[in-house]
Parts: sequence; structure tokens; C-alpha cells
Amino acid sequence: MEGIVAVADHRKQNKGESGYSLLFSAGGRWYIRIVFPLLGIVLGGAFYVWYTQHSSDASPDSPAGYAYAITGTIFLLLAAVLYTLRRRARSKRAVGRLNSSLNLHICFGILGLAFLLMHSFGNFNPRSGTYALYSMIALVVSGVVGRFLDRLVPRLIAGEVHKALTAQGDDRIENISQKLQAIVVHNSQHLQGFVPVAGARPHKAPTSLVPLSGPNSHDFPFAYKDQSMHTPWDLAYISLEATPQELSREAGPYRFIPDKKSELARPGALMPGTQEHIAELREVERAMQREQFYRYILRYWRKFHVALALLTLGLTLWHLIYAAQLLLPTFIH
Amino acid sequence: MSSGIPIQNKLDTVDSADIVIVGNGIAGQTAAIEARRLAPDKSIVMITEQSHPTINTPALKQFAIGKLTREQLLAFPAGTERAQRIHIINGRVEEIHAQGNYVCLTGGRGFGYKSLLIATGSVPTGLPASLPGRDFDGVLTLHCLHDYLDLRRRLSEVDEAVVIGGGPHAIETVMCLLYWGIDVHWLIRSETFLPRMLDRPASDMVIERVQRAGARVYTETEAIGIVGRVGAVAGVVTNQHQLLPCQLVLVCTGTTPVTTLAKRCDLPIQHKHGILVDNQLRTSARNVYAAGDVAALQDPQTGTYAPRAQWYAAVLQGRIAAAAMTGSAQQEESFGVPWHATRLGELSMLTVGNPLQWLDSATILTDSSRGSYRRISVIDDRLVGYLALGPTQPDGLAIKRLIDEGLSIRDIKKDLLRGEFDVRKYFSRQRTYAAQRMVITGKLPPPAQVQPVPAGRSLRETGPLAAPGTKSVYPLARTAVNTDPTLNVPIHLRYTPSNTGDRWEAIQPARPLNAVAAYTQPPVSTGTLQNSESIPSESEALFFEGGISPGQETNRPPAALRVVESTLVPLPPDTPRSPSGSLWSYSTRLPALRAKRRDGQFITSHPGHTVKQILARSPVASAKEPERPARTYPSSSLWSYTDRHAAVKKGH
Amino acid sequence: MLRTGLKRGANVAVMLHKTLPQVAQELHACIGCNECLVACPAVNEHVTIDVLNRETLSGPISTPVARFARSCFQCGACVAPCPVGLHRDAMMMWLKVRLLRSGWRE
Repeated sequence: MEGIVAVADHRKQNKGESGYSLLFSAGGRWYIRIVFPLLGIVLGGAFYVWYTQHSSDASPDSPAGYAYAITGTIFLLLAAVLYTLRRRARSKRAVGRLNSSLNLHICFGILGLAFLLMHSFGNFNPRSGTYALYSMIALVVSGVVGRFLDRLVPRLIAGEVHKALTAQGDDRIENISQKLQAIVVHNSQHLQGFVPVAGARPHKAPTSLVPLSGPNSHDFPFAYKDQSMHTPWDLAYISLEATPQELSREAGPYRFIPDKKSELARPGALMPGTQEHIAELREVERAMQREQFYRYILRYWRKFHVALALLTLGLTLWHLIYAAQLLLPTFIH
Repeated sequence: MSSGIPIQNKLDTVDSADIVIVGNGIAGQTAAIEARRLAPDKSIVMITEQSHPTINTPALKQFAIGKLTREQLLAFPAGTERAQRIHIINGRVEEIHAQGNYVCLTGGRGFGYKSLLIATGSVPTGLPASLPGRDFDGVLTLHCLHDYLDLRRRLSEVDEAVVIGGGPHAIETVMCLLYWGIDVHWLIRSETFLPRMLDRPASDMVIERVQRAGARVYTETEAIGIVGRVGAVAGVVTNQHQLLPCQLVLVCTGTTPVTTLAKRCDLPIQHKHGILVDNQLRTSARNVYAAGDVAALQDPQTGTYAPRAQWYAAVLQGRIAAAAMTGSAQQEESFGVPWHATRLGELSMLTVGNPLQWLDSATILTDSSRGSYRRISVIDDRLVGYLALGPTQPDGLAIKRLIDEGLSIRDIKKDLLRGEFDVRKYFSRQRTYAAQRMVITGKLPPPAQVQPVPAGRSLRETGPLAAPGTKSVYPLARTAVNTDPTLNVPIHLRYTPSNTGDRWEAIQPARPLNAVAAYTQPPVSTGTLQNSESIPSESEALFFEGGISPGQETNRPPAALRVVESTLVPLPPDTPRSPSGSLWSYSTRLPALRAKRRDGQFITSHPGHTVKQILARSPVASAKEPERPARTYPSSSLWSYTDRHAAVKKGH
Repeated sequence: MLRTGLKRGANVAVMLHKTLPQVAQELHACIGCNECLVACPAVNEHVTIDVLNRETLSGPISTPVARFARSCFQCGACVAPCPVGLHRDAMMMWLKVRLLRSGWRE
């Protein structure tokens, strides 16, 4: 599956791209989200400057203020609605259309914010409008931060995934546990005093291998018949000192409850080499937990952005109603 | 005969080749490309009647409604055949002379081969030959690119159409027409939609959705004649005595494999509903392989041979055929159970295994919530069948893996029923705990005292599609019969999740055939089951747990690891606890549970459990569950994962 | 229209990456219907599904595919429309890891 096969091709072999830094150019129609808003801001700003110089009434409820408010709100509504509709539409047409929609969304969002800032004409009194403006600023800032997160966090996730996979792309935990098993096998052969039953070989189809728990088996591994010794077997004829076997019996496996601070209390202490592997296992687990955390960031930042949008919508509506209550009487007269 | 389009006009490659592939579908093309990757020096030739390169056939419905262009239909980048030095010959193979290792093309021209792959695909069943009016203009049988090009041109001129057929192809066509705003009459011959894969509630759900989308669905209705006016179709007469006016009749009545070549071979190639092949895709003639729609594989669960007319199956078969033909012993992938994932209208459907079988022996759990329907068949905590219908598609390939490898699904039943299952998280967690437990206990995790429960039982004893001659008195004997080892092996070895048997999923599929010899057990004729089982000791555990050396794997015995930890079976009342020899545990695990036994049949719990009943039981059973090392270790833990283990297991 | 959209995106669990064998299996099961590419808000040039699948598996990565791989922000919008239930975001993550590793190697 993996592995590049050298195709004997007459054409020059393409080496392909490599590297994944944060400063990559995503391509596409970037001018939609950068140039058009700038143009819009410049035009709107020019009008703002001209208006403040040629008119006495530079306030949010002047004609220019209304113009800014209406265009700004239209832009924001377009930003919200077009992208959502395009995303949910069943009949999406071509590859890349949604990305253009996203660029437009950004463009309209920035323009809307700019125009509504100009609509305020510098009045930041604590009124309903100001709260709506704050919410809108938070919304746009959350969008910008979200774009930054979208660039940074997948790169971090890729780093964590890299730690969780081997060079061939397989599961690293499996790799480590195989190594651990080899160590455990090696060590437990030592500890268990494996005694083979005569005639039983593990390679055959299963035969009854009853675990021997002591010298109760019927088959003595050694046959004494032909090798009987006719001398007495009392060791005292030789010496009263303990035999090496008796000495090592005392030193054999013993029961104890390790105290918590001792090195022996760590799992796998009697098996050399497990600690590094356990540490690696922990590292991989931590990498996967971090990856999950990053993914949640991406998921929930979007929800946060949508929540702010709803908040902005609510505050804007409140502002419109409030302002209408104040201004309708003046219009009627 | 039509002259070929050989890419390179070398005389020595025109008359024979190392690898000859008949058919240009995805199975044949995948086999060609994979063979080129595995054997860069062999000559590969594809003989096809199709005039265009391989296309993504499932994407044709998108093409019909205009969402894709023709260029986007290509399955491989343009020029792949030339880059991979695969020669294409446009022609038809008339006969196979397997004795002489050559095929006969039309015109008497011969072409020699070392290995031959038959990937001729299938033909549409179409309308019965006796149906009056089937050759009016406007009656289309949809199968290949040509038909869909025709359909695409006609869509704008048509107001009303009739679709005939009761399978996924028919519903896709209906949705295409609805997308274009055409009035659709859909005729289904049987009572339900897709009767072999969907049960009644699922079928009703699908039909209701389609009706809501605007189509008119007629079940138990067949077309008995097509009426035309001056040569073009004007309506359809049904067996319910209706005349449905239309300008287009689309026939989607299924496909049959093209086995003509099997009949025209001098060595007998067994075929019945498709060319019979083994796990290496070999037919009964030597050096002749078959792959794709035309190949009939054995279903590991039922034992019958049936073709698998799905895209993924064809791709997999192409790759395995290539490995077999080039002689590379790549046995990483095996076919496993049938698997089908597609979109039916606005719903996504997934069937894995045979979800409508084993009504007597399996526990069927269903869940209909949030506008979706899921039905799982469980035997002893192993998944054997899965059907999901809903707006989102669950992770189908992961579920296929669960069934293929017979993994215990005790912890994830709820997730499976809900359709959310993160395979990576689940398996990595299992492996981590297994590794940690292994290190903590200082030994490999064999089952100490086990009550053996024979596995491999009853999968064939019940069910309408049981293979003949597979009955047996003692369920154990099952394993000796004609079975697919990829299923038998996991059954024996994978009951406990604690077992590092979870690692087997990488190893198991690697050696399906060699395992047969090692794993078949002779039928047991002793009275009780206990005596017939081998109780594995530590020593045997050392060998069968695998991972020691790759070479040893094939000789390993299946050793009866038979721990059953089923939440459906109550714990026996007197379970002794003895101090263990291990340094860090305070007691051994509980001995395994034995399922009730009566007359050689095993009783599982009542079939047809609902989700509620299962959930009500599980907290109780899990409290007695032996696999809880967190409880046996001191909680001010040396090992932080055990606490979280307990928390996670409870929470999930 | 809005209703189906809400239902479709509702409560999709956050899923981790997949290993290469899993990604390869999913790539073989891909039917090339293009639904994932159409639903992706990050792709901005004409990338075809066959080229994408081929390069995700093995081989050199061409520039448009590499750009696409870097700009993918793992939103998961490609998973819901897939008729076969494959995880295009996991496949893109594998492409990212390959790019990352090849960048370090050099």
C-alpha cells in the first residue's frame, strides 16, 4: 500500500510537494476577502470624510447615518444567510463553490462591521446600539480568530497524529504492546519454572496440558531404574552445610507488599525494559488526548461564532425596535 | 476483428502476455494496476469490449443529473494505462483454451497468457423478452455509460417516467428523476423494498421517505406491457390493471454475471450465479482467476457462494487477484462478510453480514430514534449482522471489521445502536489497557480456569441460507467442516477484550489459508464438553499469544480460549476467589461463565430484545463482571490509568 | 431544506484520526461521487477525486493537492454527504501527516 514504486517512465519523475508550515498560501480567490473589503472601506471612509466636512448633522440618525446603517445591516445579513444557505443546500454545484461563499461571507462581514462603525459616527454612548456594536465586533473578531485557529490547530493535530502512528502509518500502540509482550514473555519464562510434560508439545493441535503445581505428576522426568546408586543418600555423610539449591530456595520468589515509594512498586519493575515502553505508551495516549482536545476546539469555536451571531442579531433587533420607538414620533410629525 | 489499440506496437507482446485481463471494469483495472505495482517487469494486457477507460460506475447517477462532467467520471487519472504500461486491446474473447494457455478472440486470433483474469462483469437483467412493447423508443435499461448518456439527454424532454425495479439501483434512479422535477411512478414487484437486505420497518421507512419526496410507489406491481404511440413510449400497463402514462421507462431490475466464458472453456470452470472462486480468486481451471461482479465468493457466515456486486468488493478482489496472479504472497486483506453501503434517497443504508438471518439463535436489538433505524444481530456479545438506515452513515468499514474478526462488542453495543462508533479510540484504548494489564500482572493474560464454551456453533444451523450438510450433533465439530478459517479463528480466540487478542486483528487476516490446517479440530464425540476442551496452561499461553516471531504464527494451535463474558447470561452463584500468585493483584479474576446448555443447543437470551431491556440488565451484569482490574488494585493508584479506566467504562 | 440540513449535521461525534491501513481501506471503497469535495469549504481549485485518492495512498503529492491538504481545517463537513460512510477528513489528515514528515526529512 505504502511505498513509491519507481515507474520506468520516459517523463521526468515528479518529486512532489513536501512540508507543512503555517505560512502557506491557500490559493483560491483570496482577493474576495481582502481586496473587496478594503475597497469598500476606502469608499465608505471617503464618503464619511466628505460628509463630516460638508454637513452639520454627523450623527447616527442623520441620512448618512441611516444609509450606513441600512447598507451595513444588509451586508451582515448577506454574510450570515448566503453562506448558511449554500452550505445546507442539497444541490451544490461545483467543487470550490463553497469556498467562494466563505470568502464572500468574510468580505461581507468585514464590510458590514466597517459600515456600522461609520454609522455610529463616533457615538459610543451606552445605548442599545452600542451593545449591538460590541457584539458585532466580538463576532467579527471571533471570525478572525477562528480563521487563525483553522490554520494553526490542524497543524497541531497533524503533529499529534504523527506521534500516534509509526513510520509506516500503523498504530503505534500496537507496536509498543508487541514489544512489551516480548519482554514479558522473556521474563515470565524465567519466573515461572516452566516444566514440560513428557510428550506434550505446544505446536500440535490442543492436547490437555494440565498445569503442574508441584511434584505430584505421575511422570517423573528422570528415570532412575538404570542409574540406581547403591550408596546411602544421606547428605550428612558428606557435609552439614546447606546445598546451593537450598540456599537459592530461600532467595526465590517471595511475597511482599511493596511500599508505595519504592521503585519496585511500579508496574513491571521486575522486568527490565518495560518502563521506557510504558512511558512511550503514555506519551501516545497523551498525544491522542491532545488531538481530541484540539478537535473539540475547532468544533466548539464554530458553535461559539454562531452563538455570537445570534446574540448580535438579537441585540440589533432590540436596537432597531428601540430606535424606532424613539424616532417614529418624530417622523409622524 | 476490430484492430486493437496497443499502446506499444511490439510484435512480441501482441500475441501473448504474462497477465491477461478480460474486462475493463474496476476489478480488472484495479488488478492491472496492482499487478504492475507488484511485478514491474511482467507484460500486462487488458482485452475489453468497452470503448472508454474505466469509470466510476456508482457516480453515473450523479452524472445523469448533471452534477458531474464526463471527465470527472474517470476512475483513474487520464493516461494511467500508458504510464503503467498496460496494453489495451479492444476486442472480445470468445473462448478460453486453458489447456493451451491461450484465449481466442473474435476472428480466430489467439492470445497466450500465463495467468488469466476474467473480470467481465455483469449484464442487466432487463425486461422479460416476452414483454410487449419493450422496444419502443424511451424504454431504457440502465447499466453502462452509454445508457446514462442517453438518459441525460432525455431528462429535459420528459415530464413523467416509470421506474421498474426493487433494489438500490431503482431507488437511485427514482431520486435522480425527482431531482429533475419529473413525476415518477415506481413499480416494485415484491411487497417490500430490497427484501433480501431490509426488514419490514426499514423498507417502510425508505418507501415513506420516497413518497414524501414526491414519487408514487406501487408495491406488488409489475409491468405487463408497454404502450406506445408511433414508436415512442406512451404508457405502462401494470398487473393491477392500471395504465400509467409516461414518456420514459427506466428498467433497473438487477444484474446477472456474465459467465459465458466459463461455459466456453475446455477445462470445466465451475459456475452457478457467477464463477465460483476460492479465497485467492482462483477458478477451477488452473491459471484462470475471476474477480468482480462475475466472481462468486463464499460468504463466511452462510457458506454459500454468491457474487458481490459492490464497488468495494470489486476493488478488493482486483487487488487480491493481482497478488495471486503475480505470485506475491500478500495476504493482508481478506474479503470477510458482505458489506454494502449506499444512499437510498435521502437515507443512508448500511448492511454488513446478513442481518436478516439467525432469527432463532441471535439476539436482535433494534433502535429507531432520531429518524433512523438500526438493527443488530448479536450472538454471545459478537456482532454478526448490522443494518442501519438513517440520515447519516455510520463507520461502515469499522463495523465490518468487528464482524469479520468476531470482536466482543459488550462495551460498544450502545454506540453501535446509536450509530456512533469511533474505531480508533476504541481499539487504541483496548490495546493500551491490555498492554498495561500485561505489564502489571507480569504475565500474559491467559484465562486461568475457564469453563469452555464451544464457539463456531449455530451460525449455520439455523437460517434460511444454511449450507447443506453442515449440521452436527456437537457444535464443536463445526470447525472441522468446510469453513472459512477467517471466521473460525476469531471465534475461538477473541471473547475477552482483555486478551491481547485485540492485536490479532492485524495478524489474523494475514494467513487465512494456512490457518485451516492448524485449526481444524477433529469432531469430538465425548459426552461432556469439559473433558473435550483443553485448558490452556501458562506454557501454552506463551505460545499461542503470538507476537513471538512471525514464523511461529502459522503453527500455533487455536487453544481453547473460551471465556464468555456475556451480559446476557447470569453469573453462577458460587464463584470462588482464590489468592493469586501475582505480586500486585489481590485476587484472581472470576471464572468464566457458562451459557446454559440443553440438548446440544445453546440458549441465549430471548430473541427480540429491545434496547431498553438490554440496558436495564447491563449495570447489574457489569458489576459482577470479571474484567475490572481497577477494583482489584489499590485505588491510590500506582497506575493512573486504572482509575480513569473505571470511570470511562462506566461513563461510556 | 433547512430541516434536512439540521438533521444531517446534528451531533456528529468528534472522531479521531485513522491509521494508514484503515485509510487505505476507505480509499478503496470510495466510489468517486465527489460529494465530499462539493461539500468542502476549504477546497478552492479544481481537484479531482481520482487524483486525490491516488496521491493520498502513495506517491508524490502534486501542488494543488498539497495546497488543499494544508488548507483543510478538519471541519468534518465531508463526512456527512458521503454515501458510503467514509471519512474524507481522516484521509486528509493522513495527507497532512505525510507532508509534515516529508518536510522534516528534508
